[in-house]
Amino acid sequence: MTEYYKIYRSAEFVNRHVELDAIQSRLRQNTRGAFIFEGERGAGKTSLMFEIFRQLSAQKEFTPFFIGLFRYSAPEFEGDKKVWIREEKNGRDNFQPGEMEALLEQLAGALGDRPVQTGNSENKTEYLKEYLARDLARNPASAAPVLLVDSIYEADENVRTDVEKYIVAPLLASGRVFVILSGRGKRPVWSRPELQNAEIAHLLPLKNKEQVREQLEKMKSKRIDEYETIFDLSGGYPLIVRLMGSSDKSPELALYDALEILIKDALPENAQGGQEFDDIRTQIEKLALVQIPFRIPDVENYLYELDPGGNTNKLVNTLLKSHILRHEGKGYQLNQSIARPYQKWLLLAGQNRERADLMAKLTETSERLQAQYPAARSWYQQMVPAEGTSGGSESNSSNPFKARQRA
Amino acid sequence: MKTVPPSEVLFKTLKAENETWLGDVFVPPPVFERLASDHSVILYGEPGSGKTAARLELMKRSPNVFTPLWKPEPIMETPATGTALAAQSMGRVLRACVEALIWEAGLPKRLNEPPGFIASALQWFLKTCLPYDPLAYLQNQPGRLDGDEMKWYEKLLAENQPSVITEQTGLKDRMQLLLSIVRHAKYDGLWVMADELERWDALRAGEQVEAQLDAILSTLVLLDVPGIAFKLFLPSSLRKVVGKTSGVSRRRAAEVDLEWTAGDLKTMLERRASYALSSSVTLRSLCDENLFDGWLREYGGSAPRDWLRFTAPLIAEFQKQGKRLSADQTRAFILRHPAPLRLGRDRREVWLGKKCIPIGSAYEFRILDYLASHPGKIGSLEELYYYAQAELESVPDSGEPKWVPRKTWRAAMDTMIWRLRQKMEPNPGEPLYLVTHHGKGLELLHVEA
Amino acid sequence: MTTAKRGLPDLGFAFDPFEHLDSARDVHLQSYMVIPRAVESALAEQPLAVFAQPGGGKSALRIYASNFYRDSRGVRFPITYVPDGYSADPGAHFSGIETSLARAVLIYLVSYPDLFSSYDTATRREIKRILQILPFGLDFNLGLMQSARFITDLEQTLGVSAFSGLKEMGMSHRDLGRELQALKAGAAARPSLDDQFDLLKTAFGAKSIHLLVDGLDGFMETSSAPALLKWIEPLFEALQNWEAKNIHLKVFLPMDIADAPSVARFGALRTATLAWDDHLLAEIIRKRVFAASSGVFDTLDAISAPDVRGSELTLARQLPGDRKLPRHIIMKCKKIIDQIPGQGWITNELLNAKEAAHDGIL
Repeated sequence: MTEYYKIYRSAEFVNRHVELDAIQSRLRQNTRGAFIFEGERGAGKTSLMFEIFRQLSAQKEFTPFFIGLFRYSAPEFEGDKKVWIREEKNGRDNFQPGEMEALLEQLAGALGDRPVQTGNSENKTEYLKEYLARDLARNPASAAPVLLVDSIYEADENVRTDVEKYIVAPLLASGRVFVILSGRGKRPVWSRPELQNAEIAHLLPLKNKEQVREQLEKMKSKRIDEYETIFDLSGGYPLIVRLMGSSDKSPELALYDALEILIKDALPENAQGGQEFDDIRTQIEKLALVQIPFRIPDVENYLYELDPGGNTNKLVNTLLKSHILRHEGKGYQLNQSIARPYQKWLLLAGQNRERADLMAKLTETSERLQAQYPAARSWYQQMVPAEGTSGGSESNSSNPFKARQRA
Repeated sequence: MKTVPPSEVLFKTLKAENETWLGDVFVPPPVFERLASDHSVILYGEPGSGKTAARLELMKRSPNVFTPLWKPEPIMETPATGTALAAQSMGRVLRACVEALIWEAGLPKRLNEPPGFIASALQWFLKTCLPYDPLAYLQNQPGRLDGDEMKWYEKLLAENQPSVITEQTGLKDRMQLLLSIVRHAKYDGLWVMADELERWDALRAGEQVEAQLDAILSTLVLLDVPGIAFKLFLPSSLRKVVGKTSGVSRRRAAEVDLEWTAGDLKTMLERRASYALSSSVTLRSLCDENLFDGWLREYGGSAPRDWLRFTAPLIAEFQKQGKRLSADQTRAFILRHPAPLRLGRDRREVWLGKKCIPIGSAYEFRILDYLASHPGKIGSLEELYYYAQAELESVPDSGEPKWVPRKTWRAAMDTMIWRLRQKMEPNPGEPLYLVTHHGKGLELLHVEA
Repeated sequence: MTTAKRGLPDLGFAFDPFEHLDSARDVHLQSYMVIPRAVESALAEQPLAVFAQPGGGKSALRIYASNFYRDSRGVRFPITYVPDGYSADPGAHFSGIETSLARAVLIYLVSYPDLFSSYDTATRREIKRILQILPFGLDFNLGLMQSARFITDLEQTLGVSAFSGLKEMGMSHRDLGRELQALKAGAAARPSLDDQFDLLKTAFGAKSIHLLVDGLDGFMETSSAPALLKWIEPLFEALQNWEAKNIHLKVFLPMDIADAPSVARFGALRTATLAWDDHLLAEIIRKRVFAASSGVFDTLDAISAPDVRGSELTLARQLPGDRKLPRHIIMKCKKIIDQIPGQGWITNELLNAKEAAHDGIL
């Protein structure tokens, strides 16, 4: 139901020169490398991945191959043998028998036309996979392979390890090869040193209103005049900008709808409607106000006054699995692409109602925790947002990649 | 139905190998968990500390691990040095493993019709590791294998199998091959147990046995076979050799000490007592707990042996009397059964049970020595004086050169005896060990046979 | 025994991050191994001597490197040689390497059992000649291959790991076994070691070969530095010749011979020292925590009281100089995790508790 916004069109693509330039220069200067684009939901990772793929396809020294682990629409690349997008809607299920083999065959075909050694065996697909991976490792392609794997962080653990084992690891045996990954949510546990030490760039939301204006312009939105409001409310997240830009409703309602789509799409199917969804949504509203990474005991009373224990646990697990929540050092934190617009929405919609109540309750919780852990007083003092906060903007530099993950 | 052994057995034999009921009364020592990990472990303990009990219990609790027992012995032929000695010693270990495979592993059932490669490996081990011809070896121990089992071995040995191991095959591969057989027989792994090293003291062939342990533990490949671990149950005195091996310093084998807390020891004797009396009893329900427990702590040491030995007569007394011993009765019981006395002649020590009392003075010690070496004898003051002072076995006649008038030494003798009692008697005013027979002399009681 | 201690799932761990001190038994090694930058060259295309203290992680690095090469499906071909005994014969290492190579060849064939039949007769015969020096003989191993159900049976017996992810022995393996058995090896002599290396390249597609040599100091005869140096010299002498053919010697040695002049004599040999500082030790904890929590968190702070910060560094700093080694920090963490009370978390008191006088080992 919420598929329509998951679409890539190169004509609408804006404002990622920094990242694109950085990738291009690395691919030219180095013989091999692994890069990861991290970013919140809606920060524009998939679009960037498609854009990189599009640009590299035109350069003959590279052979890019795009693997999308979640369903996504890219009309420009339909029928392209170098693009493989999973049929699975939410990508959370294991690879089905034959699926990896199909991917490997397509990949082998794209990288060079070599005959495939097939097994004389009872378990054909298992063997095929192994031989294909071996062939991939022996890849003699003249153009450097660039493997782009989109949304690998969110994929099922088995899918991710299979991609690592059968595709990434063999491919990395080549002398000249690049791997570009994208994902949000929790960072996967890689076993390949290249991936452990990959350069990571964090994709930030659009940082000024002119960029939002450009995006609205390119998508031919009717609301182009409201670009300042949309910039303010969306927090600059391109996906929210797109959703708001294509809505006819008032900004407040358009934002509400956009948030609902984002949340529903992330949640497991059984939580996408009814009472359960309403409850989750209410709790996300509350969590949007919590300014520090929190732990379950910190927020139990705040979230579920009447029945704290099990409910908070359950909620946190659901949100973690849906990548709406993640762990940050001392505790959990709501994704900023949801938290920031939510705070805006609360200000807008609840100036005279819920927000004040919620803030009062949160203040109470914070004070209780300060009393309980005097040594952590200053930490819990930061729990409650200052009145009218929208979450400040982050700075951006010309080099989006941090030196190395563990530096 | 289990047969409950009589209490004197439960408390006295203390030969873990004979205690079939051990599992019912076993109290795991604090280090047991580490012993049961799949790493190589060296467990040090004093005699009587329960090493063998821990080994048997470990074997019992690991039914899926094949646990042959190697009892190290001096090598009679010219022993080698270095890696060659390790190889020679491993030959002994392999022999112990093969013997255990035959007598304990139940191979005929577990392997049934083994594939050719396992049959050839097993045949090699049987033909090479046993002391003499394998068929004769099997037949020499009639009754240990039933007819079918015997036939199974006869068939196996008759098969014409290629030799799988050559001169060049290294130690690790030999172990690995043995492990293959063991795994094929559906065991998860192989733990080589070594125990009963107390037989070898330094004067006899101890050094040679030490050298074997040293060689094995200094050859790291032997300790690096996943699935194989060594569990060595060693007297603490071996730490000086074993602790310096590279196997220990590189952490291929962990050293742990078999130590017991007084609490563990109490639990242990309460379990045994409960087992013996077929009802759940505690020390408190048997006697005055504080008195008895305090006494055990003072004289029982930190190993199970004496705790159990000292408690055995208490159980008998309890059974005879049919009810709990009161405080007075407990005190009287202790006086009737004091800890046995033993002399440590090298260092002039008196041992009461596990309590050590140094006797500094050579003269004083010689008094005890004289009495201890004449059990049942009442030694007159003269005898004791001449033995202690002049090392004379008999009293000289007056007029002999060594004769000294009684009045010159009488007071000094009294002082020496007074000091001895101060040092060793629990209550010097009422001596238990060094007792006076008025007009006759002194006797040393409760000397350990 | 702490009865109140928290279970691993309560702490958010899918497995015990501090269970393994012994890398050989550690299935998670690949996902949480920390490789100090100084020894990253252990994975590069060059010969290298890695020096480390006992317990400094030599074997872990060797196993990690071998797994790393195996992941390339043999394009970077690992051969692990750990001598099985001591011999003063200067040729001993080379025959040891030949045996290791034979093990690797067999396990490669078992990993891709259909390859063998695609080779020409000369290559197949050469392979058979190589395999004849397998431990326990070729027939034994073929027997094992034909009757075993799982590839792990062969891996365990040979002490090497497969290159592919196949688990069960299938029809292809039985065919391979039969073919090898039936093949006449021919009258030709055993190929030389160099020819054997060449075969790995031509038949298996190896682009480089990595000879991982470890355990040289594990014998009574080689516990002294001069004796050890003398023993490895023949290998160092072959080094340059090998490197020219993309055969890289990676030798793992104890620290005490790092400065020996005869090591420096072999110019082609790069050296690296496996050394640990507080930050690397803290990184060991974080990576293990990260892997055990399936990537949910990467610090013990996450399971600590609110006022605990930087717990990993705190723990690393507590270790005295001679104990700044992975195993000690892991043991320390294990102890702390074991002491977390039910419903509780790591507190500053727990973190700063005085250690017992003598540490356990496991």
